[in-house]
Amino acid sequence: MRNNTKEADGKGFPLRITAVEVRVVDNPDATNVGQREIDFVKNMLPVLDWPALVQAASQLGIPTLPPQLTEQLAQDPAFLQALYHILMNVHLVKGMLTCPASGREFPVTDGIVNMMLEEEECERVRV
Amino acid sequence: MTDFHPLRSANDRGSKNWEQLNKIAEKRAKEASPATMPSLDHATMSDYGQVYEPSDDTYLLIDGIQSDLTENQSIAKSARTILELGSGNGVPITFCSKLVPSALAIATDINPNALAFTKKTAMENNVTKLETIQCDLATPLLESCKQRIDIIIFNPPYVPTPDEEVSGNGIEVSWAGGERGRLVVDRAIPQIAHLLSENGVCYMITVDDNEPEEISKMFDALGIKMFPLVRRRAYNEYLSVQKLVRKKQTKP
Ligand SMILES: C[S@@+](CC[C@H](N)C(=O)[O-])C[C@H]1O[C@@H](n2cnc3c(N)ncnc32)[C@H](O)[C@@H]1O
Repeated sequence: MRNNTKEADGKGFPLRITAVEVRVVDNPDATNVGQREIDFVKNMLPVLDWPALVQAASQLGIPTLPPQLTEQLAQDPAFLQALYHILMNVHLVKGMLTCPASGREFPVTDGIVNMMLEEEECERVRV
Repeated sequence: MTDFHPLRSANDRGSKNWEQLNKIAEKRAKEASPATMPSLDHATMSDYGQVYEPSDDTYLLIDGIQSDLTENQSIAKSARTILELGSGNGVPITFCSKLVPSALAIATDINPNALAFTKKTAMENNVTKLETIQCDLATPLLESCKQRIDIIIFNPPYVPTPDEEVSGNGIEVSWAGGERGRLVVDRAIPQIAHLLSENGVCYMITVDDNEPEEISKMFDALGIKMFPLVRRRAYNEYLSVQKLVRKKQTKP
């Protein structure tokens, strides 16, 4: 997600997270992460923006992701299991996303991000 | 959806070629095995005062998705991302996520009640990889998801109404589509073209009042081929699921 208005000028990413309530669905218990989940993470790796993810996770209270995603880690089942947990089981329930460029804030309520723009903002959206 | 308008006459449905494609789509719909609806046990009647209730268009959409993904296993196997614009009750995106369990799903809607309901539908059916964003179409995703969405689903508000009725974020915007039912669809065209990945597909509902052949020409100009996948009459409207794919550059 990004803020696409002109103020953001292509730098509206990654949005900064202020967490008020974070819900973590079950434990990072390795036994309940199966091959299918690992395949899912492997499948997603190429499309993840790693630095953005590291930042987001730390803003959600998980400071443990390595700054660099190495080839070796990408093959490590234990790492992939932990990553699956962070991607799928950690939910921002209530809080705020802030555009780093414009300061525009987008509230999160009940896990739903509100990114509705005001009419004058819409005119500045860049496709 | 509603009975506001008469059925279009048969000679008003586009070119010979388009009519031929419609016939094939009607046949395909007849032969397709009907999709099983995801569970909606969480729903109460009062929810449907705020959120679009699954209807013939929803059913045709999931029939079309099932038939196409069964025929094209490679899409179902390789898809990483599913995006539904206007997810409403959440039935299409939940259904599709079940068929493509390895993908991350993103649902948008301008109606916050619709997104809360979409989340419940997903959960009820054990679909956990879902993000929900309240926004207009896919506007906040345009930059970060350029050509990155493998499956796009869109059942737009398609009923022809006065343009003024297309406003707000309540239940009315579930169906109110403005002139020819095209107000929202036309704005979605460039977004879909922008987001669809190289080998991605989009499934989109139209009725004949929308003049889908004209829509197909607008997509064509953006490098995307659109044709009717399945087609069925429901009361006073002919519904189609249009399938969209990127045109391949033919090598000289
Ligand atoms: C015909 S209903 C489809 C609901 C559901 N996807 C289905 O197939 O049954 C259209 C949905 O689009 C939503 N919608 C209308 N205009 C929209 C817009 N500009 N951006 C996002 N969603 C919109 C409505 O709130 C409604 O939930």
